[in-house]
Amino acid sequence: MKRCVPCGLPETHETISFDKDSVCNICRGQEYRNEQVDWDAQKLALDALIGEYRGRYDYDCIIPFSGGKDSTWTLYYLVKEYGLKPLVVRFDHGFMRPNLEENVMKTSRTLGVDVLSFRPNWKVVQKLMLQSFLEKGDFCWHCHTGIGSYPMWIALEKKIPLILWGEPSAEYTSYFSYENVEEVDEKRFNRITNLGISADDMYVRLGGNVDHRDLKPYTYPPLKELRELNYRSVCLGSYVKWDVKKQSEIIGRELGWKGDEVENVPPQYRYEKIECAMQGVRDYIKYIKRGYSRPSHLVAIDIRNGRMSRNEGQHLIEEYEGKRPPSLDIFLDFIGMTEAEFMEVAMSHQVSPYVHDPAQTQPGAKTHDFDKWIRQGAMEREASQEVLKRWREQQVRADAKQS
Amino acid sequence: MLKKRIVPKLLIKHRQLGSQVRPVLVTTRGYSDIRDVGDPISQAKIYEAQFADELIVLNIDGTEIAGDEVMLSLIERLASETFMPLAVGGGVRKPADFGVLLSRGADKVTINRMAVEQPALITEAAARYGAQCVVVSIDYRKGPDGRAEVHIDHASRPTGLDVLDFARRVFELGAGEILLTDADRDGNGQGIDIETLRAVTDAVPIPVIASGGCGLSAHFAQALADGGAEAVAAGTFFCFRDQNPMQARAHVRNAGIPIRAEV
Amino acid sequence: MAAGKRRVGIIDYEAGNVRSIENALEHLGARAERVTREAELSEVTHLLLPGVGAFGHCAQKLEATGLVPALRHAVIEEGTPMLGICVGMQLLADRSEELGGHAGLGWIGGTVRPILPAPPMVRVPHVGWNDVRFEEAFGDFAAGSSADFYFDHSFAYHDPREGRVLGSCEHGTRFAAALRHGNLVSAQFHPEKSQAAGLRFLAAFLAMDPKC
Repeated sequence: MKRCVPCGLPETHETISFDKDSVCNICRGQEYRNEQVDWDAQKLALDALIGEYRGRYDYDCIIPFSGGKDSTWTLYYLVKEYGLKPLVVRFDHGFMRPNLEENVMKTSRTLGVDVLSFRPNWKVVQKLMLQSFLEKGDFCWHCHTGIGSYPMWIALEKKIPLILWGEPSAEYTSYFSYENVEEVDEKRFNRITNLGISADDMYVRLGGNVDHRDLKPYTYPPLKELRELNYRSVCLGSYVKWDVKKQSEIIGRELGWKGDEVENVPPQYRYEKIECAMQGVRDYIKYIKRGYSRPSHLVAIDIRNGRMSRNEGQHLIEEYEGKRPPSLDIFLDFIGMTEAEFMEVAMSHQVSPYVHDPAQTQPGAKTHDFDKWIRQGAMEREASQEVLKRWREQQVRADAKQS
Repeated sequence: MLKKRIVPKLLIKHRQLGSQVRPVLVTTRGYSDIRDVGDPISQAKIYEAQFADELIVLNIDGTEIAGDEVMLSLIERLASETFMPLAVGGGVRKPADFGVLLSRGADKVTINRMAVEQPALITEAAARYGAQCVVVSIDYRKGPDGRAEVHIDHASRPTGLDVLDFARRVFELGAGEILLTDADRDGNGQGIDIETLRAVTDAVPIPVIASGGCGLSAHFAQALADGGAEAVAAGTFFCFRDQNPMQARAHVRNAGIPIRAEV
Repeated sequence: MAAGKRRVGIIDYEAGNVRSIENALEHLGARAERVTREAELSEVTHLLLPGVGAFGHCAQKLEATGLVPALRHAVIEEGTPMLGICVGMQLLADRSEELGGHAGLGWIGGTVRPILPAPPMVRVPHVGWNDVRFEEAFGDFAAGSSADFYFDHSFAYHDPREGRVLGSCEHGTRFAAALRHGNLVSAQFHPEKSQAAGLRFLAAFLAMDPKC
């Protein structure tokens, strides 16, 4: 596979392209971020933006929040720097780990903020996970769309027009660039959030097998209503330069925020992706599809920030990447599949030119809290087999025999 | 320099949903095996957000499109809610149908069956509306002897016409573009039939849009580089894989093929 | 003047799709109205001449509206900014060689000729996204900058009048992709189909001062 010479990300990374020096557009984007963006001017712009909205509504803004490092730092920064009164909105995907919940409690008590949390119907979530795993090789559709849509509905309902998100996608992909403020709007939702499937489309794909109302949390609200609210939905990271290591240190010190062990991630990255018990499975699927996963991603960031060489990074990647996570067993129960079926589906989503060899896969280590994760809510085989059968009849495969 | 194009293909069927008849986006396999996948307006907006270069919208229900208010309203909504070039077809029967579709919001009109049964339609439409509005959609299947034969009626009826001869003929009659689809590969992810595609692109001086069989993003690059196509149309590819037009574009760009830069 | 105060009269002469243009203009905060009668011409701040189809057919349809004299007055004498798109651009030429040859209105001048095919690289019609190099500044397009726009045509301005080329494009040979002559602007490409770049182009047109 072709790779970026400085950071090592392969050609299967979403939106990556290489210039004539074999430097990828993500690296170039970071160069732009570091050298061309006038962060002083951006800070002033943020002052002005906040000035437009603060004090005029029941809450100064909505902060969509998971409790991970990015949203915690976003909340911390806005409360400390501006003394804002935010409404913290959580979309609880049902996979929150014990340490994460503790972090959220500590953070909200230390800062003193109202927190609104929503946990969607698990039975609906299961159907959505299965469907999106089959069709897109990514079971997190409900999470992506829920996190993206639910805070917008709250904005409409409670009349809070300013919504402030954390890191811009421009940090990691080239769907957007640092040349503009990243607007977290319907266009962005359609471009990168919903995997190319809106809630209306999902309804059709589920064969009408859910109550239409069940899909509301995953539906982006009508643009007309948002405009009437005079909404503005942007990334804090478009105004303040993002630095995850520094930010994690700050929230650790100031809020007692604790990182955690994460499946198949090198231990020095204790701040990374601690909020989801299914992250190991997600990462494993990414590896099967694209031939790289979170260790490569983290190493690439460190390389770009001058904290690591490609060589050092390579060792870490080889040691931790691509292992079978213990959480896979829990996930298989949740969607009612066997591991063989799981592999069949995941392998069908390989992104060329990567070709996955399952024989090379090593088992990965459990995290310390693995036994505490909720296993309740397995899907019945009958139900999942029905869906899998339909998928098998319809699937598109590069190596399928011609009918 | 002219860039190559990635064109999502939207196949539309009419569905009764409650008391209304609504257009629904479907995918097909071998021109049958119909699977409902979503709402065409919502999908068009998603494609637009992902920098698709244009859209092809095809009515596959066999209704005469110029009198089909469900389809006409759909086209109108697409033209009103997105800023994308639209090629529309499926059930076009006479020159005036071009006028109807163009006035409702189409930029180009595709014809399939009529190109075989009433080839004069191509010339008449080109004269009145300009060749740039006339796209002839050629579906073919290969016989046991390897010859590519033109088929019509959702690729169910063989015509006895050789694909190359027919491609040349429609060009001579005034067509502006050819949409060339390998019906056997439709929805099967095996890749585009480069051999036939190349023969056609070598045979005519008009743009050819390749279609039928994209299963990997590498297939797009192949069709554009090796096949000589100006554009690749895909229906199933974007619906069932974690691959959106932006990712396909990145792949094409990485292969050194000129494609529109995202703004 | 804020874009919200712009009223764009789109000449509706049954020669092509007006919906997309209306959509684009409204997205930019202007009001789009279809003009079919003379009286309406004086109520708008800007005019737009669309056009899809064969030159002869479009020219005939435009003539049949009876609006041409009033249009000439509004544009040439009163200075109302007008944008011609695609065939609407070609209609402003002195003549077009399409299908036997037709006279144009001559308001921007120049001759429209067929694009010569040179397969496999240069196919005709010229369809798809191509980069337009701006010869002079227009709105936020700096002189010398380029952007991709959507084209779909077989005929083009190959010898525009001097000093009137706003933007040029290459397909086989370099031709005039956009022209400007005072308050008259024209584009061979479809700004209403050219997504972000197209909206910027239309915004630049809307920013032109209307007659006072």
